[in-house]
Amino acid sequence: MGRSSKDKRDVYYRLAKEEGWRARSAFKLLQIDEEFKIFQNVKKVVDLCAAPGSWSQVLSQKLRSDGDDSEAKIVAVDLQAMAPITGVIQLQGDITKVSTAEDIISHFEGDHADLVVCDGAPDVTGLHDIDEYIQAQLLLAALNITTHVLKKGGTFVAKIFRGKDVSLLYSQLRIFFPSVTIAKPRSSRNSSIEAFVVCEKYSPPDGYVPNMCNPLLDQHYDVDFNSLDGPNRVIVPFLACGDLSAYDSDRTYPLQLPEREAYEYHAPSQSPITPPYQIACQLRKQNQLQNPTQPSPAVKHEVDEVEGAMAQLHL
Amino acid sequence: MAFSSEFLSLPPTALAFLGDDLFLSGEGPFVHLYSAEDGRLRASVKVFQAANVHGIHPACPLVAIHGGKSLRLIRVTDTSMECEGEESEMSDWVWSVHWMTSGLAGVIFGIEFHVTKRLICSVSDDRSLRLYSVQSCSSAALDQWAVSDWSAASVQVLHCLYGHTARVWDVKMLSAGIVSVGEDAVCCLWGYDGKVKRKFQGHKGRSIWSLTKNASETRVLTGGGDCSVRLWSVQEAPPISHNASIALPTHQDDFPRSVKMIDEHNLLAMTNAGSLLKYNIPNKRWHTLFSSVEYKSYSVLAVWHQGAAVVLGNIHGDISILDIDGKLEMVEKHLYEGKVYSVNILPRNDGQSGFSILSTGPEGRMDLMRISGDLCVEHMHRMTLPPTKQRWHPLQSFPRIHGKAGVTDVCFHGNQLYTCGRDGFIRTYDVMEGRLVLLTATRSDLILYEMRSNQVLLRLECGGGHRSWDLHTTSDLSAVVCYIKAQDVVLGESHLAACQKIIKPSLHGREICDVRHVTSCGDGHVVLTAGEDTAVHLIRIHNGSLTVLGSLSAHISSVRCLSVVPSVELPGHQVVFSAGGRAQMKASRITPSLKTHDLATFMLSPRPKRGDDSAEMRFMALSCLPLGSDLLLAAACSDAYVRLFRFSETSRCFTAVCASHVHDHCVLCVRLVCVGASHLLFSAATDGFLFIWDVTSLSSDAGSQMAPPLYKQRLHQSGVNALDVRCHGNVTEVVCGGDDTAVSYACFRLTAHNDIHVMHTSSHQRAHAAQVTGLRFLDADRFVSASVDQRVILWTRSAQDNAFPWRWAACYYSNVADLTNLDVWRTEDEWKLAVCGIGCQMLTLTDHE
Repeated sequence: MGRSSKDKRDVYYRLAKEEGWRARSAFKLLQIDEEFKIFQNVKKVVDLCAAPGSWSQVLSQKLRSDGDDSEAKIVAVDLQAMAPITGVIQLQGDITKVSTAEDIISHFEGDHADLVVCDGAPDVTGLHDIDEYIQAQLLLAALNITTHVLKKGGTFVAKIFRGKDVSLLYSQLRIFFPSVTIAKPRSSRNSSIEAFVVCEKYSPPDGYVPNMCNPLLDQHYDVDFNSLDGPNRVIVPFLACGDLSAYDSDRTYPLQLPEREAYEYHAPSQSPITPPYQIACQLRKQNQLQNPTQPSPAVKHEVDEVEGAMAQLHL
Repeated sequence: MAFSSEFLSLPPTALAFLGDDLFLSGEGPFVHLYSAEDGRLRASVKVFQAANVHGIHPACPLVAIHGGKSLRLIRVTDTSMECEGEESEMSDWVWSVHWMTSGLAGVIFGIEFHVTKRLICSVSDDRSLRLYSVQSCSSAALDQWAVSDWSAASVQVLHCLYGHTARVWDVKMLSAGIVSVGEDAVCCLWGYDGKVKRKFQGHKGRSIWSLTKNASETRVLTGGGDCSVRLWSVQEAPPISHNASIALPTHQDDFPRSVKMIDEHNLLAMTNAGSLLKYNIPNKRWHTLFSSVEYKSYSVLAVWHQGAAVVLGNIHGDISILDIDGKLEMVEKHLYEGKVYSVNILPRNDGQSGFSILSTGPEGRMDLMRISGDLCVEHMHRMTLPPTKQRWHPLQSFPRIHGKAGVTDVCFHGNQLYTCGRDGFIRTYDVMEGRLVLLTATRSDLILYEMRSNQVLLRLECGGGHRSWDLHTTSDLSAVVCYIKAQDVVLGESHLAACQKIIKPSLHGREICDVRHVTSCGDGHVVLTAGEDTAVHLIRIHNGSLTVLGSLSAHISSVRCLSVVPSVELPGHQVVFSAGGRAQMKASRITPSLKTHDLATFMLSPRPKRGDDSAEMRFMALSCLPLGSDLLLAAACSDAYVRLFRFSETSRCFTAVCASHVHDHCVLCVRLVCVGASHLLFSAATDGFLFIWDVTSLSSDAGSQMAPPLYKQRLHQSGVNALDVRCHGNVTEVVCGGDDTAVSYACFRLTAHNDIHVMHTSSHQRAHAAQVTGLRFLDADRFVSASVDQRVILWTRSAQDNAFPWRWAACYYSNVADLTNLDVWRTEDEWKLAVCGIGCQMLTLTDHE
């Protein structure tokens, strides 16, 4: 299979490279906006778990077309560093910390945000129950910080995995938003369990004090209201986003798309910055991973590095 | 009406030994008690309502089980298990240990303390294993330490080790070493000196999820993503016990050109100068059998093992037959004007002692000779291969089966063909039963591999495959290997004891994409499963356990869909179509005795050229109907086409009949049905549209475009993943399940002029909480739906007229995650259901509550 093989199988991957988006997920936010008009009258917006930055790119392009400072303010938050984007204020911080919420609000001169978006996902393990749970926890962490920074009536958009407990997650979000819809943009593959929650008209319960370990967010199945396998189940509204004429993410397209310029291969625009497996990959490329027949020496500089870190922890 | 589970196969996500023999395995919501000695299942208990077991902590006779937010205690004896108290639910996920340390590059997945050795070992998503030693003036055991002891202690990194090619999930410390398991499905045994002692490979596909050690620390158990449980012995000696070069007795300038084993004690070497030498391994002595300048620089060599004769061929077209013991006169024969290309020993088929020789030479000449026990030569046939490029006319070709770099060897054993290639894969064709197979693989290793258990018995660094080598195995499982390296004859000896025992067999290494019922006999149910691991397995489910009966030959990419129809040609046989990625489709046959045979392979683009895009197309669904003496096959394709093929069992040939891309979206479902004399095709795509086509007339001619559909209607907001059709008279009923969580229903009448008259359409927008992926009618009044929300729902016909005329009747929560498909079948008095995804499950639907 050649290098253009993925371009044939995944049209949005290819379009993202051609149009300069850092990831194909840019199209997902654009298609959610087509359906829900989430960018209308938005002046202050927060992008949580922003790296590698494709949603920040969309926000910047949609809300700051003229580059004028009177335009919308965009704050992007991530634990990792991210390459800069024009018009986007970057915060390297932890979304589970109150201090991060305070930092965000300071950039809005004490005001609250009109829109909070989060496209964060864990490194999936392959065990679905764990992956779905961690994704739900990430979403709830994003919701917790959102309750600190979102104005009443504001909108919250986040990635979810549609799995066995999606109705529990839905009922948790309904505590804070009267309107919650599960949206599936056409650029998200039909075969993928990924979807997005679009939560509108933020209205926390009366007397609710924002905090970072929310006791309200612990839902269980029960027989009367939302049972595991009974007829009383929470109903989850669904909406497909994006025009039918949009490209179909499941379809195999020819490299030469009709009504587009001649196909030319584009390299991926942004590869991951220092992933945890970097050293292991280097060793594998050099055929230096240990084998019973060919033991290679331990990686010395790595040992030093870890020793340093352990010393810092006073262990 | 109620569902009950009859069989469930899931990856074991937790394992724990209770001593040296009995162990517990957590699979989905169940805990199973097995004996490692006899591999038998002793008892099973369901501990959780919905959660999967992720940890087992024995404190016999009580055992604490955790998974998800749930905790429960069970009481275990040698033969039974029972729950102690109720399942309790915590407010957060229960991790056994979950640490994050900023000094490491990633998240730690597993950590283990060695109380007496004062060691800590951790594994993480940076693919490393790290060993720390804890130093302290405290004399208490590590598990007795107070916080103050820990703060006074110093921790030193002993090793930072890289051996896994993906994330490392768990680690255990044993007296013999450290065992780690990971996403690469490899179980590594490390010495405390930081060297890899063994790599246990056996699990298929991705990830070993669980690991435990027995009380005496001699064996470990692993549970894989392939649903299997394997027992490994960590004490046996490493496989290579001896590996030495042997000096030749010849002149300094002479060197060996080829080597052959005669038996476990003797080997032959043919030198460049034309000497044939025999080496006796116990006596360590060389003996010259034969020497001739005629055999200088070029020779071919074959050994008849039973009678110890050797056949040589040379550059001048002569062959010589020698008795290795030297009792009989050497026989010479001139065969060709040019060099002898090859000599092969074949068994005699006339019942006499001796053997046959098949030799090849220039101009396509091929000679068959019979050699008697006293070396009398009888020339049987001279054959001439046809004058084509390779001198052979291919019956069937598999282009690029090993990728661009090519095939390195082909061999036939039993009823199977094996090929290996530079892509690092071995592929088998017409798989009947796993056997031993030898191959040279990777850059420099010689590997002896057991197909049946998917394990490496012997791995030997010999410097690469393009050299002369031979191997002899004995009945007491020892192997002698000889090969030539750097102009030396090298001899290796090894014991081949399998270090692995399979307690629970594997199914697919990756997600299962489709499941189809084949036949049932008494309590046994035979189904086909197709997976992302490119395999299609024929399995029998009987009394809650699974047996893999056979496998269809593997595809080159994931297999997404299956279709099973009765054979037109052979009554009692069934024809199976399997299809998936890389535009590949296969036809196979299952005999009444449940043997599988390949019939044909179809590739839309068998030799992809630059600019040809069709090779990346994925077949998404198949449906089949008998058509005269042939079969009519409809395929849903990811390039927006609906394609119709005709398949002839007699000529084993696919013929493309017609195609249409009117859907303009990836087609997800197809279904062919007979309505009276008409053939109707139902298809649906990612845009939520259902199309109905009349394919009656075009079934007989080979036009290229299909006539426009009779009917099109958008029933769903997004993709239609499941579709079933039921016909009675000229009325057809359709149910569709969508990515949008809805189930829709439509009822049509086919008029006398073959027009579609719509009688009813409606839908239940929120039938499930996630995408619907399986639908089947049971009878006129019932259908079942299945979804990624892991619910299987039974719907019964309700009296209401206008709204959705079906109502919710029963629901079953399945532990099969990423549920991809559903099949149903009827036994004498019950309905059976099979669902697949990550694992598979069989359910029974009983009529009582």
